[in-house]
Amino acid sequence: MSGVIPYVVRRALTALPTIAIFACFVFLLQKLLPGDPVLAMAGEDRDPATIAALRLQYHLDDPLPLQFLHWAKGALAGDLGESLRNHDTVIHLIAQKLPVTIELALLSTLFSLLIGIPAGILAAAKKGSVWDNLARGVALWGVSIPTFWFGIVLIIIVSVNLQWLPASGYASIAEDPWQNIRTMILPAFVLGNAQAGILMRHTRSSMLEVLRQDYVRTARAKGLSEMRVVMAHAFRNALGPLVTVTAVLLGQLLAGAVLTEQVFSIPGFGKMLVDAVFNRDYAVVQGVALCTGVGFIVLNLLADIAQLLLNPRLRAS
Amino acid sequence: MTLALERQPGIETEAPTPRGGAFRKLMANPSAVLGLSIAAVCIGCALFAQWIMPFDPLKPNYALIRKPASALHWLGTDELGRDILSRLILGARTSLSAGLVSAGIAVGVGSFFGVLAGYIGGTVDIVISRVADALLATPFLIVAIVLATFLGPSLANAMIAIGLAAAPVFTRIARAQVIDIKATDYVESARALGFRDWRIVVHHILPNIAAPLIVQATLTMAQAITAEASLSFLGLGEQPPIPSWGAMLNSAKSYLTQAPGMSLWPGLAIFLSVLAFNLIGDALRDALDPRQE
Repeated sequence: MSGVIPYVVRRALTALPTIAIFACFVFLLQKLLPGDPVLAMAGEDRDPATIAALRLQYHLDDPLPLQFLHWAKGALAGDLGESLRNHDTVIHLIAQKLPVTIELALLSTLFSLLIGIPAGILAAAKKGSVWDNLARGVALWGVSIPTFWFGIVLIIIVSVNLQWLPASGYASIAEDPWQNIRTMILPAFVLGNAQAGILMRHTRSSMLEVLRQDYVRTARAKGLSEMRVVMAHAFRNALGPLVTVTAVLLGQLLAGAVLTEQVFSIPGFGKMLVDAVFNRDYAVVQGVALCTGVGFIVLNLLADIAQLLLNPRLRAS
Repeated sequence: MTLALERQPGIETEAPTPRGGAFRKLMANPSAVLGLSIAAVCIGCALFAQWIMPFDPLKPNYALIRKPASALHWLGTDELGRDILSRLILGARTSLSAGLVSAGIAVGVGSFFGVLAGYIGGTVDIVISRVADALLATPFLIVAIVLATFLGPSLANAMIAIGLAAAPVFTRIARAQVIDIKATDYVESARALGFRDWRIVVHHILPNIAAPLIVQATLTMAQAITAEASLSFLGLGEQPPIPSWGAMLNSAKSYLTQAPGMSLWPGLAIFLSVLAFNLIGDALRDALDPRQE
C-alpha cells in the first residue's frame, strides 16, 4: 500500500496541467464571438464612460494572459459569471441542475452494467456461437442508434401508444419517489442502451484476453465447472479494465444527457446547456464546458486509482 | 538515391500487411459488404439527389400538411406539406458531406500535429500531447456543441466544430505510430542518407501509419454523422429550409401524437448510415490488423 499514495499524488499532479490547458480553451471560447462584448453589455447606452467602466470591470484592456489569470482566479473561487437569461450566477444554476443529471447518469450506468457485462461475458465464454453474434449485434445497435431518436421512438411506443410511462416531465426523488422512477426509467434506459454496447465490447475483449491465460487452463484441467472458471477465475481478473471503462462512460453520459434530457424535458445539466445554447447564454455554456471537463478529468483520475487498488500486479510495479 | 534505398533488401518502405489481402478479407466479411451496400445507397442519394427526388423538397404545400404515407408521397409529408422522401434524399447530402468534411478536418489537423509531436519529440511533443489530452478530457459531443455555439449556427461551423473536436484522437494515434516507425531501420537509413525530414515523413512514415488512421477515419465518419444530426437537432447545424436529418427529427418531435411517422424516417436514416460506417470501420480494423481481433 506504501506505493499507492505517491502514485496517487503523481497522477493527481499530471491531471493539473490538463485542467489548466482545458481551462485556457474554455476561456478562449469567448474570444471566438464576433464583435465587442462590452458594446453588447452596454446595450443602448453607448456612453464612453460606461464602456470604459465595463472594460475596467472585466479587465478587457489587459493583455490576454492577464485576462485569463483574472478569469481563472474567479473560476477557482466559484465565480463563473452570471446567466444573461436567468440573472442568476452560473455556479448556482449548475448546483441546482447537476443532481438531476447525476441521478440520470447513475441509473443509466446501472442499466448499462446490467446489459453490457452479462452480454460481454456470454459472448466471450461462447466465442463464435450464436450468442456471441447476438451480443455483438446488440453492441453494434447500441453504438449506432442515435440516443435522441431512440428516445423519441420509445416515447411513441411506451408513452403515446401503450401509455405505460410519462413521455416527459420530472418529479424530484425527495418529493415523489414513485413518480421520479416513472419519469426516469425511459431516459435512463435510452442512455444506458448506448453505453451497454461499448461496455459489452470491452467486457468481451477483456474476458477473451483472460480466458487465454495459463491459470484459466489450469483451472479447467482441475475439473472446475465452466461457470466457476468463467466467473471466479476469469471475470475477477477482467474486472480491472472495466472499472476504468465504466468511469469513462459515466463521464460520457453527460454528453448523452444533453440530448436525452432535451427529448424527455428533464430539467438537468444537459437541458440547461441546450437552453443556454438556444438563448446564446455564453456564460452558462462556458461554465457547463468547464465543469464537464474538470469532472471528466477527475473521474478518469479516480478510475486510475481504483484500477490500481483492484490490481495487485499494478501495485507491485 | 531513393531508388537505391527502396531496392535494398530488408529496407522495406511498404507496410508489412499486404493491402490486396486486406481488400479480399474485407470483401469476404458479410458485415463489411452490408455496411458498404448501405453506404453506397446513401452516397448514391447524396450524389444524384436532384434526379431521384420525386418532389421539390423545399416547396411547401399547405394542402398536404402532415399526411401519412400514400401512393403519391411514399413516406408522407411534413408540417409544411413537403415530401418527406425528397427531404430525406437531399438530407443525405447534408449528413454525408458533414461526415466527410468533419472526418477530413479531424484526420488532417489531428494527424499533422500527431506526426509533428512524434517526429520532433521533446518540448513540441509535450505541448501537443498535453493539448490533445485536455481536448480529449471532455466528451466529444460537448466540445462540438460548445464550439458550434461560439462559432455560430451553420453547417460549415458545425463541420469545423465536429472536426476539431474529433482531431485529438488522430493526434494520439499518429503520434504513437510515428514514435514506433521512427525507430525502424528504413527511417534511420533514410536519415543517414541525408534525406530531408519532410521527405522522410511523406514517403516513408505516412504510408506506414495510414492503416490505423483509415480505420479511425471510418469510425469518425459514423461519429460525425451522429454529431451533425445532434447539432442540427439542437438548431446548430444546417439552417432551414435546407433539409438535414437531425433538423427534420427536431421539427417532427412536436408532432409525436399527430404524425409519428415524421420522426421515424429521419432517425432510421441516421441509424442506418451510422451503422454502415461502424460496420465498415470494424471490418477494416479486422482486415488491416487481425491482431486487434
